[in-house]
Amino acid sequence: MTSCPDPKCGAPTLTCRMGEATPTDCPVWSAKKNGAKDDASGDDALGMVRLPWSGAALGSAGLAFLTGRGDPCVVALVGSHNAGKSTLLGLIYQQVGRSGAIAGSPFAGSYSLEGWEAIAHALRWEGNVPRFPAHTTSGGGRAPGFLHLARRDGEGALVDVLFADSPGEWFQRWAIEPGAADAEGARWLAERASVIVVVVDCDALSGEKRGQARSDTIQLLRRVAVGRCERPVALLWAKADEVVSPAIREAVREAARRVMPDIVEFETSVVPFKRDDKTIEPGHAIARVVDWMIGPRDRGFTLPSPSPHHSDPFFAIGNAI
Amino acid sequence: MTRRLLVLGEYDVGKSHFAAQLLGRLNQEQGVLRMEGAPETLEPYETALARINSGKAAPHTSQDAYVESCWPLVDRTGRKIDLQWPDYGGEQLRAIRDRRSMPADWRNRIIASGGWIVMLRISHQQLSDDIFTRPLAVPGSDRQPPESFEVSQQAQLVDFLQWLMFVRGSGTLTRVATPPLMLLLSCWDELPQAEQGLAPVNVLKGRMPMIAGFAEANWEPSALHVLGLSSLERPLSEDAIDSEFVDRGPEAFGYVVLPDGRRDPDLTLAIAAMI
Repeated sequence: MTSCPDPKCGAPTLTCRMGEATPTDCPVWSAKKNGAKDDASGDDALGMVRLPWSGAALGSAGLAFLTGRGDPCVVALVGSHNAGKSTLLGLIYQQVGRSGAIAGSPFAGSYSLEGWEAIAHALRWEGNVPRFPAHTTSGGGRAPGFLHLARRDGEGALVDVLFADSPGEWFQRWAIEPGAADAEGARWLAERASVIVVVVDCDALSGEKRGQARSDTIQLLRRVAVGRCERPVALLWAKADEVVSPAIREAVREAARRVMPDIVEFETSVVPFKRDDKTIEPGHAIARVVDWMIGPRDRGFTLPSPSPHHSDPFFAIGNAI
Repeated sequence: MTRRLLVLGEYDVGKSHFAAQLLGRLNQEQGVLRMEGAPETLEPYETALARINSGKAAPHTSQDAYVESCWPLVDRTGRKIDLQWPDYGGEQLRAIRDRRSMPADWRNRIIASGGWIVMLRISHQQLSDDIFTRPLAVPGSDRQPPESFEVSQQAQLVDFLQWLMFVRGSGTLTRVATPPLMLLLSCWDELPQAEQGLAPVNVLKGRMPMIAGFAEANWEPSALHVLGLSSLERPLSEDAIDSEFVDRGPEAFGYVVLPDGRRDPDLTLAIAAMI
């Protein structure tokens, strides 16, 4: 068997939707192997129309469907386990759900709405106090699942954006040993991202193990710098309500600038936080990040304008003489 | 000219009440659209018509039922239109959504339709508070497993509209001109007074901003309509009789809320823009 019978699951290419470490641990996968029939065969007999997206995070099949209509912007969130990558995704989606817009453009759809909701619901007051979303499972997958958003820009063009929802363990391993077998997902993403956001954990950088966290963060930044190939990189201080000592903050910042002088910085938190005697609201902070992630940016080069070299004055029209 | 409209609405959005009241207005022949002659059959609406004429709410349409009838209409310019109007149990849409597969007859209806009217019981749609609207001092520490959540209503509807566009083959690269989309915000009288005076599109932006953004992003402005609707103007009970409703007659009740927020008792305006 090469794919999971659960149409919403991308295993084995993606991580198991049920959160199991390997597909063989999953009861859905095992049931199929043991001969149980799924609904799809019955649907086919009835002429049912099935859709090319499941609503969950997009795997290879979903990406093939989506990339047929254009060149999406791929946003890689790179950071250690528990750094706050999923929370950042939840904040982005929750703001779209509240405004109907992405970076000032109307929201034009998503083929992974259930995947977004699975993360963002934790940030709502729905019977519970809002909390951090569940961890992204690390088992099994060889490529990240992608959460998709589309927007209609000012010129009427459809712009697709894919956010990688990746487990932190991949990047911890990749930072130490980029060629490791269990860093394949991180390598896959690092090679394909349009923009890279390195998410650093202010909670870890201010806690008991802050020395180790500082070292890990700097190592990750250096690894990103080696493979970035001139792509834009941001340093995002997640959980910015936690106070990181000036010495550690400056050490991380200095390490980042040393290897990526053009790196930009952002701060986010799920609670309001103080900066320079001002209170920064979570919505304002996340809007700045999203504007940078998917906004227009300089390609880093300028195309030379062709200048004709003719002696005939006719071809000189429109050119400075 | 024959025009088939696809009226989409889940359970309890008021499809049957709207159909019964619309029939009454068309037969009154005082609106921008009027009935020319008589529909081939009134049987699908017989019960609903009888109930509201008796001052009671119509019963719920059977969840397996799907009936269409042809209404011969004429507008004020004399243009004749045969309108195919459906009635069905709203659970069918929920089943499609839950199974994530669509029966062939529904696919054929989507392809053949000349306009989509999506009815939303807008007072039942409300954004949950989140950390943006009700900030936290400290976030909760427990991390729930991913299965225990419910997809928000606006996300469900966006996904369903994407299905329709996919099945229809409308394309997404440019805005859609055909079929036009009407977002009909039903049971307007249930809204808080402060919202009843607003333009329908502003109520939609406040209660379902993703839907408002999605529609704006994907439909040509000339092919997108957002109206409010109160078919009965007041709640009716399935058991108790509303005597005033009986005495004045159903035709004295109900209104459409136009894009600028004005109310008009001509319920045919709710479909005139689509044909």
